[in-house]
Amino acid sequence: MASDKIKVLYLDDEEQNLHAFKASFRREFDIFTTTSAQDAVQHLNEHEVHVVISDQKMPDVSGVEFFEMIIPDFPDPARILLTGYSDLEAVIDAINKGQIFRYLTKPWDENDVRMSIKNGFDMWKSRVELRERNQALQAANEELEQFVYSASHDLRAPLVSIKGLLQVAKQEPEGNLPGYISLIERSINHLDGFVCDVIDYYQNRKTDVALEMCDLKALWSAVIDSVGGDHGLRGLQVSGTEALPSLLCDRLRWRMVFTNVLTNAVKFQDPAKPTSTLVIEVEERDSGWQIAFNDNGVGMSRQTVQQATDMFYRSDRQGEGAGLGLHIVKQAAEALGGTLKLQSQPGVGTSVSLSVPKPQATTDA
Amino acid sequence: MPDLHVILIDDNDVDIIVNSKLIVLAGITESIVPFTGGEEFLTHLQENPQTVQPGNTVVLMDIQMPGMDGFEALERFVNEQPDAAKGCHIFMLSSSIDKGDIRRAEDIPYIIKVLEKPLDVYSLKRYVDAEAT
Repeated sequence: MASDKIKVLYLDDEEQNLHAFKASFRREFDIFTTTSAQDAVQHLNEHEVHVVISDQKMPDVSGVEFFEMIIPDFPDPARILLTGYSDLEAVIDAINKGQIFRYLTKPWDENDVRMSIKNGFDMWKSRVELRERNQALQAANEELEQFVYSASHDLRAPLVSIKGLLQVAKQEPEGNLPGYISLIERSINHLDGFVCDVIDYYQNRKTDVALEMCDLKALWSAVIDSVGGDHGLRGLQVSGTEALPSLLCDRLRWRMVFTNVLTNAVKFQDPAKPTSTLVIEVEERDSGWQIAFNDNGVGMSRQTVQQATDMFYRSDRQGEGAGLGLHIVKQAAEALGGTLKLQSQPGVGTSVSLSVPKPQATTDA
Repeated sequence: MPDLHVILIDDNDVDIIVNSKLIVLAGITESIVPFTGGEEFLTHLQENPQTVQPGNTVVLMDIQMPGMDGFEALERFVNEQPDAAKGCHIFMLSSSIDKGDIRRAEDIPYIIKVLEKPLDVYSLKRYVDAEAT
């Protein structure tokens, strides 16, 4: 069981100090002590450490040298230097080279040490949080840039088509109008599809996972209805739906998954095959559910499979759609704590497989 | 000048219809060969070199296409079929005039200009006439 205690590493060549330290603080903190710098590094490699305390005067390596050594690989833990005598040069070195958080003198004052460790932990925490926040910001920024680039084209292209169609229609005899109107309608549907995908994409990102009891079989039929029922399937034969379970899950995400998987299977049917099929396979395990959607459509090359879940990636042949479909499915799978696996072979078909964990009834620390 | 022949490459079939119509309605030419991707365009020209009539063939290549984009398709065209490419007036088409795309096209000597969609057929004609004289 993981402890919530602050994890402290204490390096000192004098065993008595280590014992005394342990005796004073072992109830409050999770303490690892050692007389060897090598052991200390090994411990840092294998365990999370929040605060590192080191004695300055040791035979093999000084405390400052030890800190200098670990900073490149372990910059996060707060460093506290303990020393028996105060020598100005050592203090300057400790600050400049060891980038220490606190400088404590021996014999230590218990309260001083306690406060230093607690403050050091706070510093560790804010360092880690700051880095995580920076990474999230950077990722969001990159996504935004990509979005603006793609959207400037994807939003404008259908409008430009409509503009052109109107320009042509104005010069044509009235009898030709219905043809242009249906082309305008197609362009509008295209644009609408893009906007809906973008909305799904943001809902997926911004909405917390909401668990409710949900009958996936009923949800699947609802999705079939929303794509236009049997007519909208364009001849695709779906089987295996009866195996879809009722489970505690997030309805919004599953709807996104179903919609995207289904529209892809409809869109990428292989005209060379007499019947197009989509087979749903459900497997229940102790840890969770695995639901696979296997179609016999045109399939994808290895390279396409690798890029298929990228944002705004569109495969070679089909110009319709925003290029967000499988990205949304992957995002939804991840929001559910699961994974998405994509397998495909050109001319054979594509398999989209989701593994999602069962929601934990009780949370254990 | 003799009749023009236009080769249109665009993944969006609605835009192919629109641009073909605009060209025909403006009385520029009725000889238009459309392709929905760079690959088809390259294969067709390889097998039917007579599609290009040197001096009066206009290539209109859309920039944003899935898979092979317009820049790549043109680069391959010029490298793989240099004689045919020399006989063409080459333009690019785009529905979003992206500054980066324009700069990139300006640096490529065989591209005359990037034209915004829907096609302004009269400026297309002006550019071709200017090239011909």
